[in-house]
Amino acid sequence: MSVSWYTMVFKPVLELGRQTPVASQPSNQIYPQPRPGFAKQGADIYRANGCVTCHTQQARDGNTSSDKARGWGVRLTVAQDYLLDQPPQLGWIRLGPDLSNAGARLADAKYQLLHLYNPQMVMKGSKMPPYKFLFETRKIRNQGSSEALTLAPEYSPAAGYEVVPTDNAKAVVAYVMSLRSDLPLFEAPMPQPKTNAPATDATNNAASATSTNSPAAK
Amino acid sequence: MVGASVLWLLLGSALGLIASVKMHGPHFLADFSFLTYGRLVFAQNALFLYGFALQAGLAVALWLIARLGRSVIPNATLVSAGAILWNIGVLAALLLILAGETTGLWRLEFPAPAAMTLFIAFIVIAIIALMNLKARNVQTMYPSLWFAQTGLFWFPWVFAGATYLLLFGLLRGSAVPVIAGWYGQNFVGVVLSGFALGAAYYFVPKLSNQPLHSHALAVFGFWTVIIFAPLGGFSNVSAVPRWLTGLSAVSQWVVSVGMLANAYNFYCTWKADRSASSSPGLSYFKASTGMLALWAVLGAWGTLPSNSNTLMFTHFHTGLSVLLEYGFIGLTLLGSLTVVATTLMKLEWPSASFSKAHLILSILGVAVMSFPLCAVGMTHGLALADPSVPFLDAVKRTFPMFALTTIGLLLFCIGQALFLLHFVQLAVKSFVSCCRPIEWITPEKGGSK
Repeated sequence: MSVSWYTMVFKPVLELGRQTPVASQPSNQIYPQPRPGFAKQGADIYRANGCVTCHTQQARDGNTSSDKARGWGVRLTVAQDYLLDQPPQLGWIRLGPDLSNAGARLADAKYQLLHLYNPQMVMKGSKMPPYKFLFETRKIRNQGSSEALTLAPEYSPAAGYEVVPTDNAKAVVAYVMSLRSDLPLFEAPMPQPKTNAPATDATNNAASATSTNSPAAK
Repeated sequence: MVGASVLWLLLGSALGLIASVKMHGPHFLADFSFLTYGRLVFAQNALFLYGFALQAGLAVALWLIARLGRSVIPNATLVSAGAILWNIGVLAALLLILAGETTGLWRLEFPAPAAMTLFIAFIVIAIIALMNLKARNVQTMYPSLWFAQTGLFWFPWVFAGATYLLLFGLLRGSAVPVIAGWYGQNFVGVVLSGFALGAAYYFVPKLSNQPLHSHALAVFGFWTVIIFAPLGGFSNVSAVPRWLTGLSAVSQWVVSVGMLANAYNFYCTWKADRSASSSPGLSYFKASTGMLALWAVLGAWGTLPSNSNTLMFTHFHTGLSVLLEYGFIGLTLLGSLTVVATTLMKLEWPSASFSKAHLILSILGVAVMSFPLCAVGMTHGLALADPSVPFLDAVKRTFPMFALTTIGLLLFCIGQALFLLHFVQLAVKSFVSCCRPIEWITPEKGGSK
């Protein structure tokens, strides 16, 4: 009991609990940044609906998996990426694509809202369920809402009605778009293309021997 | 506790069936926010683990302690109160998960109020069980009691630790999945597996009318599980320190050896019975032992470096969980409950065909649920590993086999519905036989008292 406590609780907490945001090189950008309030609210809705039971947020090394080739991650995700998440939604099965870098590759909010409303509209044959309860179908007033979804005729509501995302739908999309792991870290540098040319300063900085695990210089 | 645990098992499996159907038809019940696939999967898992497995495990542990110690439970009323509180906790957990208050943590899906209710209820029952263990009249500790006692001490420790660290927001970042993984592994690998092993160590010799094959193997099986099982459970995670996944893979191998030793011990015990008079209830234990052996072999195979990367994030790990949780723990506890219920009520099951149907449907259900998942894990993993296969195609390739899982879950549900119905019949029969009006008015010899 104590062996397990020391090995799997005490030591990891000591190891991971000391992490702080670091400066990513070469941009010197502090990483990770706290999520904006709306995205944080979206994280709660993502958790509440159990999205984690289908989507992972863990991109693996491009050498040992197809994650990079599929465009899911530009580098391996590491503990630093989840530092400010409580709880991080790592996931354990890929019934849907990995979302660790979704913000970088799916930056179109309108597309995301359509996908959330009815995945079949943007991806035929998708197994993701529609989340229509995150949207409101309402009578068009005046000129209609500027936020109303542009739907194909077969998915449109009855004449005189429009589909508008609720705050919850917008928050989930804001959360997914805030998921990014595309800054180089000391422990997870950007993979370099194989070449015979000497490395430049910029390409070397990410993998330099200077640890960026120390607290960022202000 | 027996009836309630089977009720939760049935309800959890029914929710799992709805989730499984949603995989084939994503629009099925899609307009109800409380029935999203994710919420249903969390609810199914919580109901199986806490509603059924731990409750049934506790009931069987109480039984084993009283039976093997030849003692009487000192305060049955308090145990009943604890059981009622436990079921209130499970109900609260279910409602909170469906209402969207899930923690998002596998095997600790519910928030603090439900967790605290469950903790208090467990402590009440565990204290009575341990008092009974201390007051036992047979001082020798049979292997079943090692496992039962370990579970009674182990669960409060890991549950309180994990709840305190995770549900009260003391940790953030990658420390959260590490602690959640540690808890889940201890809970299923030591506590629930321990209760199931304890039950099998009692019922296999009992039902096959044979002494236990090897005490030494039981000792080996006990210590390997207790020491190494808590160090595993990270074979399906990438974003944690590498030494954790390495340690997890090594410990899985040792645990597999320990579990195979236990399975071999059970096998040799029932094999020694050459008569045809062994109880039909033994079939549950034969099937669960087979599932345990398969889990041990596949679990070790899955951690090989050549396989672990391919199988990561696939159905293979879901299949392994089903093999251990439903296959070994579930079938063992169901087999134990079939014996405990009849012994407690001093009656035979009303219908032999109902009993047989439950046995067949449970075993078939678990097999049809778990084997295709493990098999399809390879297809899923190989397709995911090949970037030329579009992601949607990689997922779709798994669906023919996944349909079998849905059928397996349906068979399992029907089996548990039959068991519950049969249990109600048994309870009514027991009530009627002990409360016949004729006995109320017939004075005993020497006059009524």
